[in-house]
Amino acid sequence: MDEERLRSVLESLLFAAGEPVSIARLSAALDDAPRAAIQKALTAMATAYATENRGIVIEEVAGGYQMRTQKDNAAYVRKLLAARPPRLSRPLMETAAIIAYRQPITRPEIEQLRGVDSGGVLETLLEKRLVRIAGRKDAPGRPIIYETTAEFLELFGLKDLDALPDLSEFREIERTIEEANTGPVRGVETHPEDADAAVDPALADEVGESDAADVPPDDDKSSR
Amino acid sequence: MSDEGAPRQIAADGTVRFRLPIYEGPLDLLLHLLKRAELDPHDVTASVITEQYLAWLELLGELNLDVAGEYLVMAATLLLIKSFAMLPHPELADTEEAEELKRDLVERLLEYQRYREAAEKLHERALLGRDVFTTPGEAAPEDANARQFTATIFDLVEAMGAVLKRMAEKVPRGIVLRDIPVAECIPRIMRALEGATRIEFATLFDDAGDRSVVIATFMALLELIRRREVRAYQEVRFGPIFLERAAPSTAAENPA
Repeated sequence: MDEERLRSVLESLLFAAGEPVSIARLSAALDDAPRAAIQKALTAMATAYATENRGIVIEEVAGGYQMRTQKDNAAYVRKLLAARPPRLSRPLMETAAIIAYRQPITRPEIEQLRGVDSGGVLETLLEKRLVRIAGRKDAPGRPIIYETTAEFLELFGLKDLDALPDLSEFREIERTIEEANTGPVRGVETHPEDADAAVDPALADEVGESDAADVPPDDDKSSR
Repeated sequence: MSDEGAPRQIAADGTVRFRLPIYEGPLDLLLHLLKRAELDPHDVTASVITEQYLAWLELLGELNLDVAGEYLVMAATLLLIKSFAMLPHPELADTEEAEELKRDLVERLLEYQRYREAAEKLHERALLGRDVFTTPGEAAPEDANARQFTATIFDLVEAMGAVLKRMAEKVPRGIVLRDIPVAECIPRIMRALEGATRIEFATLFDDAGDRSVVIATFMALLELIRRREVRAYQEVRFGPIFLERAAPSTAAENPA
């Protein structure tokens, strides 16, 4: 199969599949065409799509290649499809992020990090298939451990877990902690007299804010 | 933004309900208070934060809302740290302990904050279904199967418990001593599964007369599952358990 023909077939395969397709699967569909040739053709196609400002892009997602619409065109596509964007509340995103960065992780570990019961959010993540049960931890009580799924990578357009947003500033924060540990204790203050003044306006503000809180409508809470 | 009345709703039964900003636990609330005071997590023990935190809990109490235990634990920690700082003779205080408490709290806050930031970054990415779209593709034929959950031993035991409970209600307790060999129950289960593509777990025990039969049948079922001759699955989590013959690989190879 010459290169032009190969590209043509690959284009059809990616279009028809919709989901991310691994090079291994493409190769199998192509009667065991050499993977290197497929890889090369895909890279060339992705570049061509990008340089020609096409409405479709070819991206590496969840261990495979996938055709996706150009994100600058999102508003038009949404209108055409009357698409409802996925509802991802902040607690849900927080929990998903913790699992993504710390997997495999148990529910008590998640709750320790969030400081709050996370059973409902976990159930929602399982239902949305962004997270799955990876087995049980070899520890007392054999707690269930969770990990993210291919659907998680697909939703956020990630090639793999290494492609998660870099958290390099974590190191900076850790350094700050180090310094705080060795340095003098900040913030342990003794000014009880100015506390009273601060309380009341704060509360008024708190309640007033409620309906405009920057929290997205909380699906996992209200549905329970 | 309305500044009063908005969070209050009167429900059909006349009770007053309040909608409050949803703080996802004490760490979330503390970060919010710090941000508003333009402080960073290292200042979590500032007295203004402690006071506002406690005022918030008090408000929840006044509104007759249940304050989750984790909020109270955090309040206790904040007060303990504060009490150390307020001792007239600081040299008498266990400053080691106070510092350690504070350090742990600051670390928890920073760690929580970094995951929150990570979540925000993820949410800003080109989201499938919001910013980017794909072709629907052909639904894979095995998709229906993929949605099934394999029932665990716990699901089975729970379903078993339900069967026994129902039985206890129906059948007057008599004294029937019988030995039911598990091996005898196996062909009965297989026959039941032959007639249908699948049967519901509970129907397996429909004509079981007493507990010993039920238990022997259950043991036989576990044995069949262990041998991978029968598969137990649920279509929804915690839904009814269905049984089916597992993929008859041997039967297909040697048609009788």
